[in-house]
Amino acid sequence: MSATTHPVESKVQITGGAWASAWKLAAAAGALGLVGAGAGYASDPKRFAFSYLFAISVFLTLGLGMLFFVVIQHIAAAHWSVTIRRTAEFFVGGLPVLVLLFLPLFAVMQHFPQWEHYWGSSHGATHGATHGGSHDAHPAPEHGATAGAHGEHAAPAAGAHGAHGTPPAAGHDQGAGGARELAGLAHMHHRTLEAKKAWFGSTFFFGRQAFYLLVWVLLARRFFKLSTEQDKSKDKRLTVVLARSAPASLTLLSLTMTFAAFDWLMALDPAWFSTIFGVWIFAGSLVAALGTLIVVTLGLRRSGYLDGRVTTEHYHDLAKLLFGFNCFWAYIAFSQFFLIWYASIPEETTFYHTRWNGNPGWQTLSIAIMAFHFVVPFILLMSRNVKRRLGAMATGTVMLLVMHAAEMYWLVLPNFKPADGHALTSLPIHWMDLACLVGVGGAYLAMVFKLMTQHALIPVGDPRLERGTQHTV
Amino acid sequence: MSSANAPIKEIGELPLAAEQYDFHRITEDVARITENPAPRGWWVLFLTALSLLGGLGLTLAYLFWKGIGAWGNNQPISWAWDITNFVWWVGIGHAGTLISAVLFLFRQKWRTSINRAAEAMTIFAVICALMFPGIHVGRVWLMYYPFPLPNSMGIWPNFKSPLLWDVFAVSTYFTVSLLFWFVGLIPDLATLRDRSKTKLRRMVYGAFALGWRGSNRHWQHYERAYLILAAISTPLVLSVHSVVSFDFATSVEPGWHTTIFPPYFVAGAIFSGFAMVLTLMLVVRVVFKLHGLITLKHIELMNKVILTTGTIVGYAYAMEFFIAWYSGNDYERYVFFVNRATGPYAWAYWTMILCNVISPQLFWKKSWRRSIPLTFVVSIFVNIGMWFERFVIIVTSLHRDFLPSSWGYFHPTPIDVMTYLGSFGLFFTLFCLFIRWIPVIAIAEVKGVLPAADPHHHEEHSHDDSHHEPAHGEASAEA
Repeated sequence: MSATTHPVESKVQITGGAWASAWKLAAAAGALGLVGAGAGYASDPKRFAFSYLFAISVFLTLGLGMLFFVVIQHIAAAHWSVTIRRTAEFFVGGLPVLVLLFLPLFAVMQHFPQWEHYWGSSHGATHGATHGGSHDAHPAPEHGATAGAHGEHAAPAAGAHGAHGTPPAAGHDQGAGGARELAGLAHMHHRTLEAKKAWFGSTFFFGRQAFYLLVWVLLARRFFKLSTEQDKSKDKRLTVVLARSAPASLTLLSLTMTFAAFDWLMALDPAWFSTIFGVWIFAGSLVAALGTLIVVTLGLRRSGYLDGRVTTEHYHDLAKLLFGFNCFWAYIAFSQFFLIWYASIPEETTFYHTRWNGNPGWQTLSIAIMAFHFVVPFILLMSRNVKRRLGAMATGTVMLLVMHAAEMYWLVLPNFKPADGHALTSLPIHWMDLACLVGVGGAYLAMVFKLMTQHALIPVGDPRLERGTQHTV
Repeated sequence: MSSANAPIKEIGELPLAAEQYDFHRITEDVARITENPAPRGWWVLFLTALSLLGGLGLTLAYLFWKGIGAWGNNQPISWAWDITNFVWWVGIGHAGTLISAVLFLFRQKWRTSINRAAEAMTIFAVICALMFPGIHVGRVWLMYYPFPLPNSMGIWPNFKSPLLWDVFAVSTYFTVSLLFWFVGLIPDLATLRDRSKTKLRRMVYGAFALGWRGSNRHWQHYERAYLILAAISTPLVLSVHSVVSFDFATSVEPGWHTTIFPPYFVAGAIFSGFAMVLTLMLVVRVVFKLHGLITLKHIELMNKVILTTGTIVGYAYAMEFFIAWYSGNDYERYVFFVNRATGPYAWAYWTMILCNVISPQLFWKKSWRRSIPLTFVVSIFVNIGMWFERFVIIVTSLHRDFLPSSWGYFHPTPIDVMTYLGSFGLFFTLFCLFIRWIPVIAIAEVKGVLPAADPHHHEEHSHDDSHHEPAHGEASAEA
């Protein structure tokens, strides 16, 4: 009745070789990256803030995507994924490192547009305009200059947009409005920003950040700890315990992810809003997680690990899920774009306007994301042959992982406006982007790889292990 | 050796069909519904439905005679019950496609007991749905206008309009669903043909069974066709209701224009569809004594889907509210905080919240998920709530437009009510006929998930009988 379990062999335990020392390499790269990022911070704290947020976004979405994957396997009582679940759990186990690395963001948050606006008064030295006092008397053009980062329709007043020749969407839609209309728009813009002031009140803001981080750490610990505990105890009840706590965990995870995405990514343009934004970030996270799972398990297999328990059948299914969720990502991204484009309301179109008309670099990146995050992987991964031919499949997967990072860059960096006020004419690529990416990623992966050396590479105590091993498509 | 596929009791796994079922009994239990005289319960439902359908005919005749003014629709509420009913019925259809296509691709074997009825429900629900825009045009004899037909007037439909995309989306959906349903039916129709005692019956079932002989070749083609149709149907689960949501979300109407609409409508559609499947299957199971095939396990799993999709819908409501506030836009805030939550339609809004968000939360508790009376009540609640969701979206958003002097309140006329009730007549008439003439459970597919269908079944049977006890949880709960 009970599945016959193979004895724990060396193949499910990292004993030596490249994987045993991988964490040291990652740690060294991470340290180097973080030192570089630190130096960057000393020279240009504002640029550092954006690079660092970009790096955190890339890896935090990946880690939370992994957590989501693990939780959903427990909810669905899935057996096919048992042998790959542990790899995801290592990434979940590393989440506390990311939470720790999240903390420096609080130190540089005054550089992000939302806090430039809402907490501007406390950083008056950097930003001339004071937002603490009499808002009604606030002159519109001055506001436009401050808020130039978060609304191209306000930008003509600031003169930042004139160089491009194309009239910004808002001005165009409003007809030949002239200065009076622009002043009116700027005033409206100002009013909408004031209306949500309570959301960025400091106590509430920090309180909820603490809540998100706490939830992530607790969930990560629980799902990692109980699963690895089962390796030794072989206690079948743990499967039930994890399945029971999964639905509530999923609810908490989706809410915290949504609001963290609102607070740190959507609010980079404080006037902009989109109800689908949380779903969008979530869809991208899952694509990143599935892609990483494929790449890492392929690596482990190549070094002779995983005991032949992750087969072509599993990759076929993983690739199907990757394909499916990438389509879901595209569907969500398209829904948002399409509804905003069709309705063409200035307060919403700013988001795409910045990323299309902002400068040629962003336009190129927008096209690249469409092509390589959707069109090419869609065609490539549709075929059954490709999904079962692991080399070709891995190519598509790596492409998606690169595009995940590109998408985060595309979300964060358009909101960066250099301190000297000059409009950028190309992508604002900076060495600090790479330093932060390597720093954060290295530190996170060091923890993940370290955990890999300490625990079995597959959940050897899971009662569904045998069924998962025998899985055929 | 024992099969790894055997249910592991310690972690709560249960077999999919009650243990006393073998291949023969499944055929008998399902086929007899179409062969024996109908039980009284069927006649009661059928005649009620038929009467309502007659009422629908009379209502529509009057409606065409009088014009659309016979309904309560008027400026500013130019869309009301008609479009609410359309969206509601289309949404109900989605569960059928989700169960038959998406759950098939996810290899959820429990779908086999309910997919046939759910797919039939899809087709009938889409028929009911299509009726509403059809009659809403008023001049029904001009219904061909939305189709891009070459014509001497040189008039073409407006391809930029989401309403036109609806025509394409829903008709594609109907076609694919019908094909999918029919392909799945072929082996079972052949079973009925082979059991036929009269010549007419044999001829009719024989014609629809397309010469099925159950050969290896037939099965290979069948499996491939089924997989391909499942793959084609899956994007349709998302696309159809997304396009329906575009009818609203592409506008600049506060309360309609919001980016979460497409996935939110899809989740709501699956939610309402599962509720309708539950309502129907709970009745069918009792009337035709199918307790062993549609077990408590199926009901519990469907209740889990209800809980999940209900919570997703709750998430969407919360996002709408939060972003309305967060946007700082006066109109958005007004629509949600004044019109919906506290306005003249607050009763509808809170009915919706109670039915859609709160009532499914009962299913967090396992014993409640497995309670049949509670499941039935909640499924009805969800059906009601999802109707109100569309009513709230359509009517509350329209009743106070940008011109306060034209603000109004919608009062349905008896014709409104009768059109809606009549659509139930249409739906249930079709559904009753389906139950009596077509195998209500996919015989061949359920056989495929029995333990005996596992290639290792016989080996393990001779060595290890321990896991073959009756499933106590199921049997006792049925009694």
